[in-house]
Order: sequence, then structure tokens, then C-alpha cells
Amino acid sequence: MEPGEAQNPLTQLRRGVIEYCVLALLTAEELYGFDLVKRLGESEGLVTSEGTIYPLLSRMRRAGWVTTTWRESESGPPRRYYAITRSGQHALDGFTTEWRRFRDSVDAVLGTGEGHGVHRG
Amino acid sequence: MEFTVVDPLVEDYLRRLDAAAYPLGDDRRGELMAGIREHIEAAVESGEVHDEVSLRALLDRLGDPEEIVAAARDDGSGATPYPLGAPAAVTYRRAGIGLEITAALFLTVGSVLLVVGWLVGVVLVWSSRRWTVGEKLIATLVFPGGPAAALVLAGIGAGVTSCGSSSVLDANGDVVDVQSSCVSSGWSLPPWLGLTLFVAWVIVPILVAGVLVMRARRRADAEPLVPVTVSPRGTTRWGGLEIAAVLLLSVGSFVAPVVGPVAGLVCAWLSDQWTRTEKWIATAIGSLVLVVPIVAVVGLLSFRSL
Repeated sequence: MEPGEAQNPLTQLRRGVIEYCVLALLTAEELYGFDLVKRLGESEGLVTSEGTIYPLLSRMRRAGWVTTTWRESESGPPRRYYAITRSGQHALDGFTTEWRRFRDSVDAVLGTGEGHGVHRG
Repeated sequence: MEFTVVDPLVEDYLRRLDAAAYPLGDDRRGELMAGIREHIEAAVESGEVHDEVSLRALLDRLGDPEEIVAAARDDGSGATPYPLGAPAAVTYRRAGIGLEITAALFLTVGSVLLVVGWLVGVVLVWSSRRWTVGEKLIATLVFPGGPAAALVLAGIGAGVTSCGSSSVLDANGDVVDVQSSCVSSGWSLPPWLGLTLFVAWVIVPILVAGVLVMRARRRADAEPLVPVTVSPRGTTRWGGLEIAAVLLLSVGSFVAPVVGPVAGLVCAWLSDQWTRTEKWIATAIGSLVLVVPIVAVVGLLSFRSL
């Protein structure tokens, strides 16, 4: 992808972190697609096109980070639930450590001259 | 559905997505379509979508079909860090429905094993996760005893009707008269009732089995693809399951008629090494092995009753 194509500087960043956000949501409980997308949507600015979560889930499944199971639903057809795998947990743990370090570094650089309190700004 | 009026919106959206997703290939396109379709259905079920405005909002949030497909095509472009990407030696195939096909076979053809075959079918039906509880109940209740039970009952009805004929000869040995008599003991049904029972007990179960298998197929298509380990030389591997299948299908019927080949079929369909085509070939051969002794027994019985 050409550097100029990324009009929004956060687009690439978002793409890189969203799968870890999915993994983090799945550590608490198994979710089906619609619920998962809604949860992600509750955090502002995390997802721009909800539909792109589905190719992402498919990719994560093929990488062995999540598994899926069909479950009965009270109404309508069975639903596909996503669960995090050990390998997914491993990836999430690695990312979480890296991310904290990265975030602190960026905050420190951006925050130069502005003093404290710019965390998660 | 209450918002049928705006359904064309969904249809149009899915059509655009389907067209855009064409380059992804059948498997991934199917998975993507199923995911998005499920999402829209879930939004309707949850009450979030109840009119055209809320539906448009939902489709807006889903995003442009091209954008979704672009996200799917990002695979390995480097935009997403992917340290744990799938190893090259793994390919994917659509999820199989061996369990469901085996269940349907046991409930219909397998019911020639009388109670046992049908029971195995019922157990298999209830262990499938691709059928709803309602469908499982239908499968169980529509097949009480399976079609074979109906045939057996029909056999009891017909088998006790025995006919005989005797020739009356004159002094020269020429036939002057043929007397035939039929002795019918037991019970027989009026034709209309027999026909109705036949349809209800033999035809309907087979139709239901077909429909249920097709539904399972559709749901399996919507499932994630299954990784297949490809051996380095790309040849079919022979594991215990495959060898067992061949043995049971070939010599199995000598050891255990009917049960042997049926078990062989189950093994063949459970194999993750054989392709679908190979499994169907095994099924065709297995069915022959299965049918021949039955035909032979029926033939023998009818010959003896003459």
C-alpha cells in the first residue's frame, strides 16, 4: 500500500490493532459475530466499517487464533460463536506487552513540552 | 418479516458484496457472505433493525462492499502484522457433513438393520450440531423404526399369503385343468391404507432425510473452512481409518453382512484424507456390497415361497 493512500493516519494503525481487540473481547466470553461487532462499536473510533470485521475473523480463524462453534439460538438458525485459542491468547499476551511499551513511547514523544497527563489522550 | 418492504435493500447489498467478493474464491466468498448475512439477520432479530431507516443505518455501518472485500484481500499484504500466519503446508476445504449423511443413511437405508440401525441414526442425529432441536425431533419422529420397519410389516402382511397351483392330468398325461388356490392367513390392509402407510413410512422419511442433509450442507458451507494438512508429495495418505474403510467395504460383508459395509461407509466419510469424489466412489461400491446380499436374501425367500 502506498504511503499516500492512507488518508487517515489512524487507518493503518487501526488495522493493526483491531484483531487484538477482538482477541481481548473473546478472553471474557465466547461471542457471535453480531455481538462481537457491537462490542467493538461501543469503543469510539475502533471500527469504521463493521463489515470488515468478518474477513478479519476469517483470517484469525485460519491463523488458528480463534475457533468457531455452532450454537442453537432461541429464535432463528444456529449461530457461529467465536472463542479464543491458546495460540490466540499467546498472541494477545505478546501484543499487550508490546503495545504498552509502544503507547508509552508515543505518548512520551507527543507529550514532550506539554507535561503530564497525556496518557490515552 | 415486518420490514419485507425494504428487503430489496438487503438483497441489493448482498448482491453487490457477492459480486465484489468474486476474486476471493468460492470458499472465502461463501464464508464472508454467510457472516454478513448472519449479521443482518441478527440485527433484525435483536430488534435493532425494524424499519427502512434503521436498516439503511445498519448497512451504512457495515460499510461499502468494496471496502469489506478490500479488507479480506489484505491478507499478507503487510498491512497487518501476522506473526502466526497459517503455515504454507496447510490448505482449507469446506466443512464436511459426513456425520449428517451417515445419520440420514442409518435412518433410511440403515434401518434394514432393524432397531439397531435406526437407533444408531437417532444417536447420530442428536450428536450433530448442524440441526436445530426441531429438526432433530422431526428426524426422530418421522422415522420410527425407519422405512425398513414398514417393509417388514408389509412383508408380514404379504408373506403369509401363499398361493399354489396343481394340474389335473388325464390318462395320457395331458393337462386338462389347472387348479390354483391362494391361502391368505394373517392380516391384510385395504389398498388405500397400504398406500398411505407406504408413503408416510417410506417416501416421507427419505424426502425428509434429503431435506435435512441439504440444510446441513448449507449450514456447513457457512462454517469456517477446515484446515487440511497436505502431505509433501501431495498424495493421499493412508491412515488407519482409510484402511479400515477399504477392508470393511470389501471383505466386511463376509464377516458381518450389512453391518460391515455400513461401518466401512462411516469410516470412509470420516476420513479427512480422501477427497469428496473418492468418498462418493467408496459409497457407490459400498452400496452395491450392501444391496447385493439383501437382493440375494429377498430373491431366495421369494423363490422358496413359490
